[in-house]
This record gives sequence, structure tokens and C-alpha cells, in this order.
Amino acid sequence: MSQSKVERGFDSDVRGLAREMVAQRRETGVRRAVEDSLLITGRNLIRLKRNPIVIVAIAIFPMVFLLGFWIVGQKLFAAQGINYLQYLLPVVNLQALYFAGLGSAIMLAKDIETGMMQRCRAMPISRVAVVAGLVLAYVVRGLLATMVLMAIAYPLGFRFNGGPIAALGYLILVLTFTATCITGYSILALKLRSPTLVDAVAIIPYTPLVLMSNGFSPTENFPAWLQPVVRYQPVSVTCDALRALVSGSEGSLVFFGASLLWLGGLLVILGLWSVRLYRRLGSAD
Amino acid sequence: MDPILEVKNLTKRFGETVVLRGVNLSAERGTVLGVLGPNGAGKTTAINCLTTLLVPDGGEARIAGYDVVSDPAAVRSLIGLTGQFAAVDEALTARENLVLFGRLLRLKRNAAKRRADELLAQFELSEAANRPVKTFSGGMRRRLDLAASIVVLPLVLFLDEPTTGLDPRSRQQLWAVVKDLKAQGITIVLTTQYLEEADALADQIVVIDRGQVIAEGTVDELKDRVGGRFCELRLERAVDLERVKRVLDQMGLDYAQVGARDGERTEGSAKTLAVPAAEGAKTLTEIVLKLESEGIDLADISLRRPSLDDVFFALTGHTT
Repeated sequence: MSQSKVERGFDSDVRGLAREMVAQRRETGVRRAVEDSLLITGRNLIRLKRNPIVIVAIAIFPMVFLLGFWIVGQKLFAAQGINYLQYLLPVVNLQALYFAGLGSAIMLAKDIETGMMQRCRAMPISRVAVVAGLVLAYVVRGLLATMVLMAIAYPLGFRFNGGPIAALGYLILVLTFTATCITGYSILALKLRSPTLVDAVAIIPYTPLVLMSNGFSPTENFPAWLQPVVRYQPVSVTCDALRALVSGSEGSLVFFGASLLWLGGLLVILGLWSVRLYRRLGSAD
Repeated sequence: MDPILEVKNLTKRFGETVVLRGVNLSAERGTVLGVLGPNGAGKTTAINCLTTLLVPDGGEARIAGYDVVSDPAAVRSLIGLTGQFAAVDEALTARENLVLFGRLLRLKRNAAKRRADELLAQFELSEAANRPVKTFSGGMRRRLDLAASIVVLPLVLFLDEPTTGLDPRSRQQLWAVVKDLKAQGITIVLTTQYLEEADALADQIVVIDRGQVIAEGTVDELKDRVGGRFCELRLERAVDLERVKRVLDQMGLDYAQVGARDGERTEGSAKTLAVPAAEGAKTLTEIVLKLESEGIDLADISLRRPSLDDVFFALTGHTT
């Protein structure tokens, strides 16, 4: 009689303990999502801060590109009636954001390869925390890169003439572009799962997207057969929008809308694809 | 009393390949369950199913009564996992890692810091606490990995091949930690390829091959089935084989020809014999002396414990 009481007692001890542990560590809910995502963001920001390449990418690269292209192209484009510094800044900005996206894929691939992703998935933390923490950290990096670029460009003579609403629009496009790049590149990371592979392959979209855009040179300067591609591809459309917002010109709302449509659409499609790949992380290990 | 871990008929397929074919496991609270098997047996897949990283295709698994498929969030709050790869952040310091995991597990900042210090001391990482993990040796990284999975003490701790790739000293250290955790009442499920590891740590062993449990029992029960230590003799000349066999017969010793198990004759198999050595070194010495007195040369003689290969051969009739 007392034996079974003891057994039952022990049994209920385990169940009681388990219940307590389960109750203490609920992983669902918005509050959890926010708290956990912020913790992971903090971790990622520390990783970024301690990686010397990131400092170079944020501060030095944009400066080198801006100065390099501006010095070479200033007189040439002045002959076409273009203030090259104003023309050039958006694409240098987008390029910095593009590389932020590339960097995020390498960080994600590292987390998958090292097993950190696996550990987080086996912990009672919000299911969105790892990805949200990655996106947030790299959006912060993108914003920092943008601010550094502006700080460099102002002494050179760059001026934002669009006013506060246009500045907000500029910011929205910067954020959306960064998020789209991160999402797009996350697909690479989720498929390849190795930082070295991602590093090797990631640069491939760069040429068609950034170099074959009107970011560095107006569409008219491209050969006729290439012009339709150049004119309508997402980086070009976004550059048009950013330039319009910078100068505060009349058509900026239309450009803004077109860019948002492109980037938003890509974000949704790439996002869905990425989520599907993320769910399959468990298999095929 | 219900076992704290109950797994019935666990099945998992990857495309066409069936990796787990109805695995049954159970563990009582406060014990160490060893899951022994070669590479590709399905050990990691089984662990991944139990820690909610994979969704099984069939069967049932419960931890403290919570089902891993229908209640994965609850299961996650009861378990700890140390996977095959040391999953800690390289750019962060040891302390930062532990504080991060502590806070993710709902400890308040100060509590997380205190717990981090506690663990750093327990795992002898206090000196290196503020160095980034990428400067750590493999053994240190593993210790940190283990510490990270018990920042909050789980009911069940899963260790997936925790000492693979570690030097002997680090391996011993880790074993000591595991024993310590068991003393604290944590139930531990440990996968390993090494029979001696299962031997040293496990109360119950389950042997898995090709996705199925082929044997279970205590370590001693398993060894009885397999046979204990044995002497392996390699003769200098193959022609001596028959003479040696007669000598062993005279000594009243059994023997088996090694290498014949695969059905192929490997180069050494014509010259190699295995002799069960119940008395260990004594048997070996007797054999050496006797063969020497008969003038038979030995190329090599050693005292060996059954390897995983031997276990498998005894249980399945094939090697790993």
C-alpha cells in the first residue's frame, strides 16, 4: 500500500516538474517572438562588430566606390548634363545593401553548418527568432552603411533636395531593398548550407544586377539591344526612384511605386521560397 | 512507474531510403541510456526525431508524457541537446555564449550571468571565459557545448556522439561530467560508436543497426552475448597454423580464425587466431610461454577487448 503510494508520488513528481518546466518556457506569442528575436539580433550585431571585413564593407567600400567612380566619371557625365555625384550615390548605396545581403547568407550558412541553427531549433524559443534576428541585424548594418555613405558624400557636395517625406521614401526603399537581398540570399544559404560555397557562388548575380543597371550610367549609354533589360530591371527601377527622391522631382511618386512593386513582389516570392526551404532544414541533413 | 522516455516503433524515411524502421527505446528517470551503433545506423536521425528537429513518419515518442509530434514546444522545454558538432557561437566569448543561452531560456540578466559563472567553473572554463570561442581547442569547445545544453537543467539530456574526435584526456573529462550530471538526477540519452564509452557510462544499452534495434540490455548482458576479452595471435609463418591449433587444444583453449568472418580471406587471416582470454594477461602469458617452448614464432600477440565490429558480428553475422 505504502509502496504504491511512494511510486505514485515519484511519478507525480516527474509530471509536476515537467508541467512546471513546460509552463515556464512557452515559446509562442508575440512577446516571445520579439524578445527572442532581439536577443538573437544582439548576438548577430556582436558578430558583425567583431568581424573586420564588415567594418571595411560598411565604411571603406562605399567610400572607395563613390570616390573612384565619381572621379573617373565626373567630367564625362558633366558633358551629358549630369551631376555625377547626385546620380551615382543611390547605386553605391544599393551596392552596400547588396553586400549586406550577401553577408547575411554567409552568416546563415555558418549557423547551419556549425549546428547553431539546430541548437536553436531544439530550444524552446520562438520559431521566428533566428531568421528575424538575422534580418534585423543586417538591416541595421544596411542602415549604418547608408548613413556612412551620406556622411562621406555630403562633404563632397551631395545634397538631399527632396525634403522629409522623400527622405522617408528613400529610407523605405533602402529597408525594402536590404530585406529583399537578405531574403534572396538566404535561399542560397539554405540550399548550399556551407559558408565557403555561399561565398564562392554569391557574387554571381552581382554583374547582371548591379553593373547592368542604370546605376552607374544612364540607360541610353548601353547598346540598344540591352536597353530594355537595363531599363526595367529592379536595381535600375530602384535607382531611378532613389534619384528622383533625392532631387525631389515631380515624378518621384511614380518611380517610388514602381520600385516598391518590384521589390515587394520579389520579397514575397523569395520569402515564400525561403520559408519552404527553412522548413525542410530538418530533413536531408 | 512510467519511463521518462518512451519510444515505440519510430519510423523515418528520407525519400526512398528508410532510415529508421520501427525503433523502440525507453529510459527510466535518472539513468543513462546508451545508443550504440555504427555510422549510418540511424542514431542521429533517432535523436533528431526525439528532440523535435525531425518529424517521424511513424511511431510514437513521449518525454515525460508529452508527445514529440503533437506537443513539440513542450518537449523542447524539457530537453537539452548536444549535437554532433559543437554548436556554440565562435565570435562570442564563452561567457557571452552561456549568458545568451541563459537569457533565451528565460533567465533574467543577472541570473543568466550567475549561471554562466557557475557553469564556467564547473566545466573548468573560467580562465578562458572572456576569450572568443574560436580560440578554443576541440575539447574546450565540447565542454562549452555541453555547458550550453544544461544552462537550465533539462529532464532529459541528449548527447549525440559527444566524444567523437576528442583526445583521450578530453574524453575522460567529458565522461566525468556526464557521470556528474547523472548524479544530479538528469536522464541522459547518449549515442556513441564506441563500446567502451557505452560501457563506461550507460546503465542500459540499445544496439542499432540499419535503423533497427538489434539488441538491448545492460552492458554486462551485452558483453556476455559477445564474449569478453580475447588474445589475438598472428603467426610468423602460415605453416605453423595447425601446430598452434594443436597446442591450444592441449591447453584446453578455444580459438577462432580471424578474418574468415567476411567470407573473404584477407592476407593475414591464414595466420591470425583469436583466443578468448577469460583471465586476460594470464592467458596471454601462458600462450606465449607455451608457443615459445614449442619453438613457434609469433609475429604479434595482443590482448583485445571486443570492438564494435565484434559486437556486430556476434549479433548480426556481418561487420559494420
